[in-house]
Amino acid sequence: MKLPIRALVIVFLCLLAAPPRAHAHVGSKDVFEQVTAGPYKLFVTIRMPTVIPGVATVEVRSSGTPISSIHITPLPLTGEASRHPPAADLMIATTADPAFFTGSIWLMATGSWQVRFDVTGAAGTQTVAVPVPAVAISTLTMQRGLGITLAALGLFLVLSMAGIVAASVREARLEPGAVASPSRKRRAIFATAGSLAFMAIVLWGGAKWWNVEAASYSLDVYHPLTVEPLLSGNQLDLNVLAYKPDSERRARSNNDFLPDHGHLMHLYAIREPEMDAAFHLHPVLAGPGDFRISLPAMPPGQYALYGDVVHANGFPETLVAKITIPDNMPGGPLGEEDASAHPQPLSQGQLGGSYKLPDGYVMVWDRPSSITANTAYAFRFHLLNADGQPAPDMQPYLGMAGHAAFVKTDGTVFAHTHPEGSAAMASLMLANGSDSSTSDNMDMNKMDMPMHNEPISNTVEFPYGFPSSGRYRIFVQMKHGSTVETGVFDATVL
Amino acid sequence: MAIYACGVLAAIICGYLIVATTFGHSSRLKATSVNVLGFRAPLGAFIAAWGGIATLTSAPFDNWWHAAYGLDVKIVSPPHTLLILGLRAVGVGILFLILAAMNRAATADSPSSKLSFKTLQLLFLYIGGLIVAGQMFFLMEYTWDVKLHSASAYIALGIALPLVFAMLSQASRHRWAATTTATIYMVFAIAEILILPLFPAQPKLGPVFYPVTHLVPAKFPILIFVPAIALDLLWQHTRAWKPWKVALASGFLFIAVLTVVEWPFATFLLSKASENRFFGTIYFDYNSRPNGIDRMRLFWEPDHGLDLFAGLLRAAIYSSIGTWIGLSFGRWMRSVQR
Repeated sequence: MKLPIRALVIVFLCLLAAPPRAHAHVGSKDVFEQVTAGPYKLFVTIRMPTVIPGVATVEVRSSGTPISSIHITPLPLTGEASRHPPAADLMIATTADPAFFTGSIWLMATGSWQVRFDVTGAAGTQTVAVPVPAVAISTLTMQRGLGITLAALGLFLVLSMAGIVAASVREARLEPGAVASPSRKRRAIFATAGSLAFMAIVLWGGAKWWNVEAASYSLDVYHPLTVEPLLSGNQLDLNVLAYKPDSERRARSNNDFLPDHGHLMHLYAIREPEMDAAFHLHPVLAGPGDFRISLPAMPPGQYALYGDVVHANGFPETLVAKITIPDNMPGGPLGEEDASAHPQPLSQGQLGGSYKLPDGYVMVWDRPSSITANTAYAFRFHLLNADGQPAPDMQPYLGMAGHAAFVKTDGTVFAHTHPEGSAAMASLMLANGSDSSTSDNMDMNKMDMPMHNEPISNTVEFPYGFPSSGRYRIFVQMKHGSTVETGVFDATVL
Repeated sequence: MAIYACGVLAAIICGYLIVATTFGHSSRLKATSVNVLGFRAPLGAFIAAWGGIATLTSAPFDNWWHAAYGLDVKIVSPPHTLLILGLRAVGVGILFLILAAMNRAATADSPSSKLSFKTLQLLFLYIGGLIVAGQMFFLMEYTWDVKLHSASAYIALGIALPLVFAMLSQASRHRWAATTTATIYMVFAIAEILILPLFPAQPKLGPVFYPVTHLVPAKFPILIFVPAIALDLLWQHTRAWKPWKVALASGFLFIAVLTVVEWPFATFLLSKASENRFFGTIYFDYNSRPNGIDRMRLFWEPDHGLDLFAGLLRAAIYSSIGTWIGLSFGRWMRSVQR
């Protein structure tokens, strides 16, 4: 009797012990995007599942021309399946707020996906798509209550099966009404013991099988491509290693990157642990998988590196590494499109809502009175000149009104976002019909900078939602004249 | 949901039978019952009720499994195995309910009991056919037409089928039990191929690699009725043999006939000649990639020479062991009275 119970308990304890892991996109799985479909304006939040296949929930807040219905369809970003959409699902408008729609979609395979929105309203039907990277980022542990319930049911199944075996040996073959002989009763006891031993072996085999399945699943849990940083003098080489699993479909190349805002990699270097020095740099490809840059002068210490890249199929990755900058490293000048900031250390308290920049300009954040985790916000920032007036000579920075990085102070979250949202620009373009895998870089840059000819506002909004509570530091870049400014702000998320 | 409804139905009906027998006053019911953990009912009711509870237990387990590891595209996973074990127990439980009545009728001499024996035997074979179809569904991943030139398909069939055939043949006392139950499976599977494509449908989930406009049937059934005929003939002529000899001969015969029939038939299924509405090789599910082995109609990792021979030998040995278990269990089932 003891053995099967123990086997059962071991099976369920195995579940409780498996630790969760979260890695993808550096801790920020959800996608926040402001998109326009003709005259319709949508603030899209896609809450990604932690397992694949899994369900993503989609929320849309509409502004602009009123909308009567939205259909959503998940489909891969590239390849054969991107040409055959499955049946679309209708989003439901909430009764309290007819401009707020919710829906859900199944993401059935790992890879680079898009959610297509068919928006119908006063101005007819328009289509827009938001790219989403679908990856498994954790395995779930079993809740104690469910574990106990299942263990109890399992125990009952084992005991009652032993009872059935005993009854079949003892009585099943008797003429109706006859009574079992002592020898039959004895045989029934042996049969019970035998059946319990047999079920113990079956359960033990089942537990082993379970472990194998769980281990094979955990191999599918997403990890960014490995980066090996090599610093000699001030030349930094980031060697990106390709990911070659057994299944070719899950493989990721280190040599298929698309330019995003004209650069193959956007590299943030943030000094640890005080986050008192931050750099936004753009290494260039020196060879397959080898990103190289001559570093500017940087205060010595350990830096966390976050390198954003986009694969040819639109799959974005944030590659992570650490480097140590030695004392008196010879530093070159900052590149024309690079940026840096030297805010006060974290330990000296929270930064306020306005940040004084080195040239006397000021960046101001319309900080919400309280910020809660997993809520979608459009965070708004303004650039003012030394007199407190809107900065007059605004320029696009890397084709955009601004760039922002939201970084948790413990290093578990990093999200590089744009005024459109948290999806990479190159993926967004793939999703909306420009096949950048075949276009050359010139084209990319042109399409990459849609606002080039329009006057740039001194106000920029970033749609984003913090994935968890805790302390975050936000780095915001805007450009005026030929100066790239980096404002730094702190947020405590509840 | 319909699958779990089967579990609920079995649990409720057999639960009622158990309660009625245990606490009721019918001495006729009590006389044909057994005692499990203090309750009384026919053995079949307990087995079916057990299956119902196992089926229902698998529901939250499977739900958690999907939440933890994603919706499985695989049929064979631990919670699904529990589910199938439960469903099979419901089937076997019903089989036992019929069987006990059948066995009692077989030993009686009145003409009315002869008639009821015949009816019960047909019912028994029908349920047996459903069990065979269930086994084949569980093996679908291993017996896809493009995998029929690999030993693994024959090993899977060798493990799963002769056991069931031998059990059904012994327990039902029918000369053509294996043939009848195999034919029931074939008829169901072919009917599916003819009927399902008549209903329009479109994929609800991506990625869609093959646009689908109607319901898609499973692949053409494995021609298991041919080895089933061979087994029935063998068993009709070897009643005097020792069980282990029968089992050994059955295992090798089953795999030999199956291979001789199915191997060239698989070649036919992958040829242009089978591309019609009857053989159904024109149908692909939405997940079939254009460069996938199924769409290209190529065999998946075919075995040759020694590998193939060793694989088929293994399959024959498993078949023999399965037949021996099936024969022994079937013989025991024949004496079940309650």
